[in-house]
Amino acid sequence: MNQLNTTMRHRPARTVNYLPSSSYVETAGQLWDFSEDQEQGATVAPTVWYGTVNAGLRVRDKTPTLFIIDGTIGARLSSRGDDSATRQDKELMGILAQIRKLVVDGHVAEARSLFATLPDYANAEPAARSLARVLMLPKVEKSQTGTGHKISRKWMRQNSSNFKGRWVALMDDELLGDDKSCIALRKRIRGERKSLAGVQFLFVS
Amino acid sequence: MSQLWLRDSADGYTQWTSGVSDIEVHAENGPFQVPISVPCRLGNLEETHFALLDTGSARTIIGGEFVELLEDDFGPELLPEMFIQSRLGGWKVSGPLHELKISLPSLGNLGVDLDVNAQVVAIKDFPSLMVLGVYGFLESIRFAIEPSNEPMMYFGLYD
Repeated sequence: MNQLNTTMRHRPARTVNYLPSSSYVETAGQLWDFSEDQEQGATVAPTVWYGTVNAGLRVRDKTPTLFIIDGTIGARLSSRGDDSATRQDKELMGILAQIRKLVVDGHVAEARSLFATLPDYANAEPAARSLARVLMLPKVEKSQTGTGHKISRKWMRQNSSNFKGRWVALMDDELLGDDKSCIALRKRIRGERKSLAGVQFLFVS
Repeated sequence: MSQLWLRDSADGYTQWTSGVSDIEVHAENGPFQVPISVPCRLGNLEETHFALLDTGSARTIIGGEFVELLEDDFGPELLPEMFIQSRLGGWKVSGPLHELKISLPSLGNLGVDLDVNAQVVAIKDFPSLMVLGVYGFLESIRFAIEPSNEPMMYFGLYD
Protein backbone atom coordinates (compact mmCIF):
# COMPACT_ATOMS: atom_id res chain seq x y z
CA MET A 1 0.00 0.00 0.00
CA ASN A 2 1.54 3.27 -1.15
CA GLN A 3 0.92 5.10 2.04
CA LEU A 4 2.59 7.28 4.63
CA ASN A 5 1.94 6.23 8.16
CA THR A 6 3.65 8.26 10.83
CA THR A 7 2.77 9.66 14.22
CA MET A 8 3.94 13.07 15.33
CA ARG A 9 4.47 14.61 18.73
CA HIS A 10 5.13 18.28 17.96
CA ARG A 11 8.80 17.87 17.24
CA PRO A 12 10.62 19.75 14.49
CA ALA A 13 11.77 16.62 12.67
CA ARG A 14 10.09 13.31 12.00
CA THR A 15 11.25 9.86 11.14
CA VAL A 16 9.04 8.30 8.54
CA ASN A 17 8.80 4.84 7.10
CA TYR A 18 7.70 5.63 3.60
CA LEU A 19 6.63 8.71 1.72
CA PRO A 20 4.76 9.03 -1.51
CA SER A 21 6.03 11.71 -3.86
CA SER A 22 4.60 15.24 -4.24
CA SER A 23 3.09 15.54 -0.81
CA TYR A 24 2.99 18.40 1.64
CA VAL A 25 2.06 18.21 5.29
CA GLU A 26 1.26 21.33 7.23
CA THR A 27 1.31 21.11 11.00
CA ALA A 28 1.72 23.59 13.82
CA GLY A 29 2.67 26.38 11.45
CA GLN A 30 5.25 24.31 9.60
CA LEU A 31 5.12 23.13 6.04
CA TRP A 32 6.60 19.71 5.42
CA ASP A 33 7.75 19.14 1.87
CA PHE A 34 7.71 15.49 0.97
CA SER A 35 7.98 16.22 -2.74
CA GLU A 36 10.90 13.85 -3.09
CA ASP A 37 10.68 10.18 -2.28
CA GLN A 38 12.35 9.59 1.03
CA GLU A 39 14.39 6.66 2.15
CA GLN A 40 12.79 4.37 4.67
CA GLY A 41 13.52 5.67 8.17
CA ALA A 42 14.69 9.06 6.86
CA THR A 43 14.41 12.08 9.13
CA VAL A 44 12.55 14.93 7.48
CA ALA A 45 12.81 18.51 8.66
CA PRO A 46 10.20 21.17 7.92
CA THR A 47 11.16 23.28 4.94
CA VAL A 48 8.95 26.33 5.44
CA TRP A 49 7.84 28.12 8.57
CA TYR A 50 4.97 30.54 8.42
CA GLY A 51 2.10 32.09 10.35
CA THR A 52 1.02 31.27 13.83
CA VAL A 53 0.86 27.86 15.35
CA ASN A 54 -2.26 25.99 14.38
CA ALA A 55 -3.90 23.50 16.62
CA GLY A 56 -4.23 20.44 14.51
CA LEU A 57 -2.83 19.22 11.31
CA ARG A 58 -3.70 19.59 7.66
CA VAL A 59 -2.39 17.76 4.66
CA ARG A 60 -2.07 19.41 1.30
CA ASP A 61 -2.02 18.05 -2.20
CA LYS A 62 -3.27 14.54 -1.45
CA THR A 63 -6.56 13.56 0.03
CA PRO A 64 -5.66 13.47 3.67
CA THR A 65 -6.97 11.76 6.76
CA LEU A 66 -6.60 13.93 9.81
CA PHE A 67 -6.90 12.88 13.38
CA ILE A 68 -5.77 13.85 16.82
CA ILE A 69 -5.92 11.06 19.34
CA ASP A 70 -4.48 10.83 22.81
CA GLY A 71 -2.35 13.90 22.39
CA THR A 72 -0.70 12.41 19.36
CA ILE A 73 -1.06 14.00 15.96
CA GLY A 74 -1.07 11.46 13.23
CA ALA A 75 -1.11 11.91 9.49
CA ARG A 76 -1.77 9.51 6.70
CA LEU A 77 -1.19 10.35 3.10
CA SER A 78 -2.54 8.13 0.40
CA SER A 79 -1.43 8.33 -3.17
CA ARG A 80 -4.01 9.10 -5.81
CA GLY A 81 -6.33 6.21 -6.51
CA ASP A 82 -5.98 4.75 -3.03
CA ASP A 83 -9.26 6.11 -1.74
CA SER A 84 -10.43 2.84 -0.22
CA ALA A 85 -7.46 2.79 2.14
CA THR A 86 -8.16 6.40 3.09
CA ARG A 87 -11.79 5.65 3.81
CA GLN A 88 -10.78 2.65 5.91
CA ASP A 89 -8.33 4.77 7.87
CA LYS A 90 -10.91 7.49 8.37
CA GLU A 91 -13.38 4.99 9.72
CA LEU A 92 -10.84 3.44 12.06
CA MET A 93 -9.71 6.80 13.39
CA GLY A 94 -13.30 7.84 13.89
CA ILE A 95 -14.03 4.72 15.95
CA LEU A 96 -10.85 5.15 17.99
CA ALA A 97 -11.77 8.76 18.75
CA GLN A 98 -15.21 7.59 19.81
CA ILE A 99 -13.74 4.90 22.09
CA ARG A 100 -11.37 7.39 23.64
CA LYS A 101 -14.20 9.81 24.37
CA LEU A 102 -16.19 7.02 26.02
CA VAL A 103 -13.21 6.23 28.26
CA VAL A 104 -12.59 9.85 29.17
CA ASP A 105 -16.27 10.33 30.00
CA GLY A 106 -16.29 7.22 32.19
CA HIS A 107 -18.21 4.82 29.95
CA VAL A 108 -15.61 2.07 30.10
CA ALA A 109 -17.93 -0.89 29.51
CA GLU A 110 -19.25 0.69 26.31
CA ALA A 111 -15.70 1.53 25.23
CA ARG A 112 -14.63 -2.08 25.73
CA SER A 113 -17.59 -3.37 23.72
CA LEU A 114 -16.81 -1.02 20.85
CA PHE A 115 -13.10 -1.82 20.98
CA ALA A 116 -13.90 -5.52 20.64
CA THR A 117 -15.48 -4.82 17.25
CA LEU A 118 -12.30 -3.33 15.73
CA PRO A 119 -10.90 -5.15 12.71
CA ASP A 120 -7.58 -7.00 12.96
CA TYR A 121 -5.66 -4.34 11.01
CA ALA A 122 -6.33 -1.90 13.87
CA ASN A 123 -3.59 -3.68 15.85
CA ALA A 124 -1.02 -1.96 13.67
CA GLU A 125 -2.26 1.45 14.77
CA PRO A 126 -0.37 2.95 17.76
CA ALA A 127 -3.48 4.79 18.93
CA ALA A 128 -5.38 1.48 19.07
CA ARG A 129 -2.59 -0.21 21.02
CA SER A 130 -2.54 2.71 23.45
CA LEU A 131 -6.29 2.40 24.00
CA ALA A 132 -5.99 -1.36 24.46
CA ARG A 133 -3.69 -0.74 27.40
CA VAL A 134 -6.21 1.65 28.95
CA LEU A 135 -9.07 -0.80 28.49
CA MET A 136 -7.42 -4.01 29.65
CA LEU A 137 -8.07 -5.38 33.13
CA PRO A 138 -5.25 -4.63 35.56
CA LYS A 139 -2.72 -7.34 36.23
CA VAL A 140 -3.05 -8.76 39.74
CA GLU A 141 -0.56 -10.97 41.57
CA LYS A 142 -0.53 -12.69 44.91
CA SER A 143 2.47 -11.88 47.04
CA GLN A 144 4.37 -14.56 48.95
CA THR A 145 3.79 -13.01 52.35
CA GLY A 146 1.34 -11.03 54.40
CA THR A 147 2.78 -7.73 55.59
CA GLY A 148 -0.28 -5.99 57.05
CA HIS A 149 -0.72 -4.79 60.61
CA LYS A 150 -3.74 -4.28 62.85
CA ILE A 151 -5.08 -0.74 62.95
CA SER A 152 -4.01 1.15 66.07
CA ARG A 153 -7.57 1.38 67.37
CA LYS A 154 -6.68 1.64 71.03
CA TRP A 155 -4.56 4.75 70.42
CA MET A 156 -7.24 6.22 68.16
CA ARG A 157 -9.95 5.65 70.74
CA GLN A 158 -7.99 7.24 73.57
CA ASN A 159 -6.17 10.06 71.78
CA SER A 160 -7.69 11.01 68.46
CA SER A 161 -9.69 13.94 69.90
CA ASN A 162 -6.39 15.74 70.60
CA PHE A 163 -5.21 15.49 67.00
CA LYS A 164 -8.24 16.61 65.01
CA GLY A 165 -7.38 17.90 61.55
CA ARG A 166 -3.87 16.45 61.66
CA TRP A 167 -2.06 13.51 60.16
CA VAL A 168 -0.68 10.97 62.63
CA ALA A 169 1.89 8.22 62.10
CA LEU A 170 1.13 5.16 64.20
CA MET A 171 2.67 1.77 64.75
CA ASP A 172 1.23 -0.86 67.08
CA ASP A 173 -0.76 1.71 69.09
CA GLU A 174 2.25 3.98 69.48
CA LEU A 175 2.29 7.55 68.13
CA LEU A 176 5.41 8.23 66.07
CA GLY A 177 4.50 11.81 65.15
CA ASP A 178 1.86 14.19 63.84
CA ASP A 179 1.68 17.10 61.41
CA LYS A 180 -0.85 19.03 59.37
CA SER A 181 0.91 17.80 56.23
CA CYS A 182 1.23 14.13 55.37
CA ILE A 183 4.35 14.74 53.29
CA ALA A 184 6.08 16.72 56.06
CA LEU A 185 5.20 14.05 58.63
CA ARG A 186 6.48 11.28 56.41
CA LYS A 187 9.74 13.12 55.80
CA ARG A 188 10.28 13.60 59.52
CA ILE A 189 9.47 10.01 60.47
CA ARG A 190 11.67 8.72 57.68
CA GLY A 191 14.57 10.71 59.08
CA GLU A 192 14.11 9.03 62.43
CA ARG A 193 13.67 5.42 61.33
CA LYS A 194 15.47 3.01 59.05
CA SER A 195 12.23 1.84 57.51
CA LEU A 196 8.63 2.96 57.29
CA ALA A 197 7.36 -0.61 56.91
CA GLY A 198 4.43 -1.16 59.26
CA VAL A 199 3.89 2.54 59.91
CA GLN A 200 0.30 3.67 59.33
CA PHE A 201 -0.49 7.23 58.24
CA LEU A 202 -3.98 8.37 59.18
CA PHE A 203 -5.85 11.66 58.97
CA VAL A 204 -7.73 12.38 62.21
CA SER A 205 -11.11 14.03 61.77
CA MET B 1 -5.40 -19.11 57.82
CA SER B 2 -8.80 -17.39 57.88
CA GLN B 3 -10.21 -17.22 54.35
CA LEU B 4 -13.46 -17.47 52.47
CA TRP B 5 -14.21 -20.66 50.53
CA LEU B 6 -16.74 -21.13 47.77
CA ARG B 7 -18.87 -24.23 47.79
CA ASP B 8 -18.91 -24.98 44.08
CA SER B 9 -20.22 -28.53 44.09
CA ALA B 10 -22.11 -30.83 46.42
CA ASP B 11 -18.99 -31.89 48.24
CA GLY B 12 -16.29 -29.55 46.97
CA TYR B 13 -14.93 -26.18 48.03
CA THR B 14 -12.59 -23.74 46.30
CA GLN B 15 -10.64 -21.10 48.17
CA TRP B 16 -12.18 -17.76 47.17
CA THR B 17 -9.86 -15.29 48.88
CA SER B 18 -6.19 -15.23 49.82
CA GLY B 19 -5.79 -12.18 52.06
CA VAL B 20 -7.45 -10.42 55.00
CA SER B 21 -6.96 -6.87 56.19
CA ASP B 22 -8.07 -4.94 59.23
CA ILE B 23 -10.28 -2.06 58.06
CA GLU B 24 -12.18 0.90 59.47
CA VAL B 25 -15.88 1.49 58.97
CA HIS B 26 -17.72 4.78 59.52
CA ALA B 27 -14.46 6.73 59.38
CA GLU B 28 -14.11 10.35 58.28
CA ASN B 29 -11.49 12.34 56.46
CA GLY B 30 -12.02 16.02 57.19
CA PRO B 31 -15.41 16.95 55.77
CA PHE B 32 -15.67 13.65 53.91
CA GLN B 33 -17.34 10.53 55.16
CA VAL B 34 -15.28 7.43 54.52
CA PRO B 35 -17.75 4.61 55.18
CA ILE B 36 -15.20 1.90 54.45
CA SER B 37 -11.53 2.75 54.84
CA VAL B 38 -9.01 0.09 53.81
CA PRO B 39 -5.22 -0.05 54.21
CA CYS B 40 -3.08 -0.05 51.10
CA ARG B 41 0.48 0.51 50.01
CA LEU B 42 1.13 2.80 47.09
CA GLY B 43 3.90 2.52 44.51
CA ASN B 44 7.21 1.88 46.24
CA LEU B 45 6.21 3.53 49.51
CA GLU B 46 6.84 1.19 52.44
CA GLU B 47 4.25 2.61 54.80
CA THR B 48 0.51 2.02 54.90
CA HIS B 49 -2.07 4.61 53.90
CA PHE B 50 -5.83 4.34 53.96
CA ALA B 51 -8.26 4.65 51.06
CA LEU B 52 -11.99 4.93 50.66
CA LEU B 53 -13.35 1.71 49.17
CA ASP B 54 -16.02 3.03 46.82
CA THR B 55 -17.90 0.72 44.48
CA GLY B 56 -19.84 3.79 43.33
CA SER B 57 -16.71 5.46 41.95
CA ALA B 58 -15.84 4.62 38.36
CA ARG B 59 -12.15 5.34 38.88
CA THR B 60 -9.42 5.13 41.49
CA ILE B 61 -8.39 8.63 42.47
CA ILE B 62 -5.18 9.88 44.05
CA GLY B 63 -5.69 13.38 45.37
CA GLY B 64 -3.92 16.34 46.96
CA GLU B 65 -0.58 15.70 48.65
CA PHE B 66 -0.52 12.10 47.48
CA VAL B 67 -0.01 13.24 43.89
CA GLU B 68 3.25 14.92 44.92
CA LEU B 69 4.23 12.04 47.19
CA LEU B 70 3.84 9.52 44.39
CA GLU B 71 5.35 11.62 41.61
CA ASP B 72 8.23 9.17 41.09
CA ASP B 73 6.06 6.08 41.40
CA PHE B 74 3.47 6.75 38.72
CA GLY B 75 3.81 4.57 35.66
CA PRO B 76 3.29 5.76 32.11
CA GLU B 77 0.59 8.33 31.46
CA LEU B 78 -2.18 6.37 29.75
CA LEU B 79 -4.37 9.37 29.01
CA PRO B 80 -3.53 13.04 29.49
CA GLU B 81 -6.90 13.96 30.94
CA MET B 82 -9.70 11.96 32.55
CA PHE B 83 -12.84 13.60 33.91
CA ILE B 84 -14.31 12.67 37.27
CA GLN B 85 -17.69 14.07 38.16
CA SER B 86 -20.23 13.64 40.90
CA ARG B 87 -23.15 11.41 40.10
CA LEU B 88 -25.57 14.32 39.76
CA GLY B 89 -23.06 16.66 38.15
CA GLY B 90 -22.43 18.88 41.19
CA TRP B 91 -18.70 19.00 40.52
CA LYS B 92 -16.26 17.93 37.87
CA VAL B 93 -12.48 17.58 38.10
CA SER B 94 -9.85 16.11 35.85
CA GLY B 95 -6.32 14.74 35.83
CA PRO B 96 -4.07 12.36 33.93
CA LEU B 97 -4.61 8.60 34.02
CA HIS B 98 -1.53 6.73 35.22
CA GLU B 99 -0.54 3.22 36.10
CA LEU B 100 0.36 2.74 39.76
CA LYS B 101 1.09 -0.38 41.77
CA ILE B 102 -1.32 -0.60 44.69
CA SER B 103 -0.95 -3.41 47.22
CA LEU B 104 -3.57 -4.65 49.65
CA PRO B 105 -1.61 -5.85 52.67
CA SER B 106 -2.90 -8.94 54.45
CA LEU B 107 -2.51 -9.60 58.13
CA GLY B 108 0.56 -11.85 58.11
CA ASN B 109 -0.92 -14.79 60.01
CA LEU B 110 -4.11 -14.82 57.94
CA GLY B 111 -3.06 -14.58 54.29
CA VAL B 112 -0.87 -12.93 51.68
CA ASP B 113 -0.76 -9.46 50.10
CA LEU B 114 -2.30 -8.73 46.72
CA ASP B 115 -0.46 -6.51 44.22
CA VAL B 116 -2.55 -4.71 41.60
CA ASN B 117 -1.10 -2.88 38.60
CA ALA B 118 -3.85 -0.30 38.93
CA GLN B 119 -4.95 2.67 36.86
CA VAL B 120 -5.37 5.87 38.84
CA VAL B 121 -6.46 9.41 38.08
CA ALA B 122 -4.07 11.87 39.72
CA ILE B 123 -5.79 15.13 40.70
CA LYS B 124 -3.79 17.72 42.61
CA ASP B 125 -6.87 19.86 43.26
CA PHE B 126 -8.70 16.96 44.87
CA PRO B 127 -8.60 16.59 48.69
CA SER B 128 -5.72 14.51 50.11
CA LEU B 129 -7.82 11.42 49.89
CA MET B 130 -7.54 8.16 48.01
CA VAL B 131 -10.50 6.46 46.45
CA LEU B 132 -10.38 2.86 45.27
CA GLY B 133 -12.86 2.71 42.39
CA VAL B 134 -14.07 0.11 39.96
CA TYR B 135 -12.35 0.48 36.57
CA GLY B 136 -8.65 -0.24 36.74
CA PHE B 137 -8.80 -1.64 40.27
CA LEU B 138 -11.82 -3.20 42.01
CA GLU B 139 -13.04 -4.85 38.80
CA SER B 140 -10.05 -7.16 38.86
CA ILE B 141 -10.20 -8.47 42.43
CA ARG B 142 -12.63 -10.35 44.64
CA PHE B 143 -13.49 -8.84 47.96
CA ALA B 144 -15.95 -9.17 50.80
CA ILE B 145 -16.52 -7.00 53.87
CA GLU B 146 -17.06 -8.27 57.41
CA PRO B 147 -18.67 -5.29 59.18
CA SER B 148 -18.49 -6.54 62.76
CA ASN B 149 -16.85 -4.90 65.77
CA GLU B 150 -13.55 -5.98 64.30
CA PRO B 151 -14.23 -5.19 60.65
CA MET B 152 -12.25 -7.06 58.04
CA MET B 153 -11.86 -7.07 54.29
CA TYR B 154 -11.30 -10.40 52.56
CA PHE B 155 -9.73 -10.22 49.13
CA GLY B 156 -8.33 -12.45 46.44
CA LEU B 157 -7.32 -12.94 42.87
CA TYR B 158 -10.11 -12.95 40.32
CA ASP B 159 -9.63 -15.90 37.93
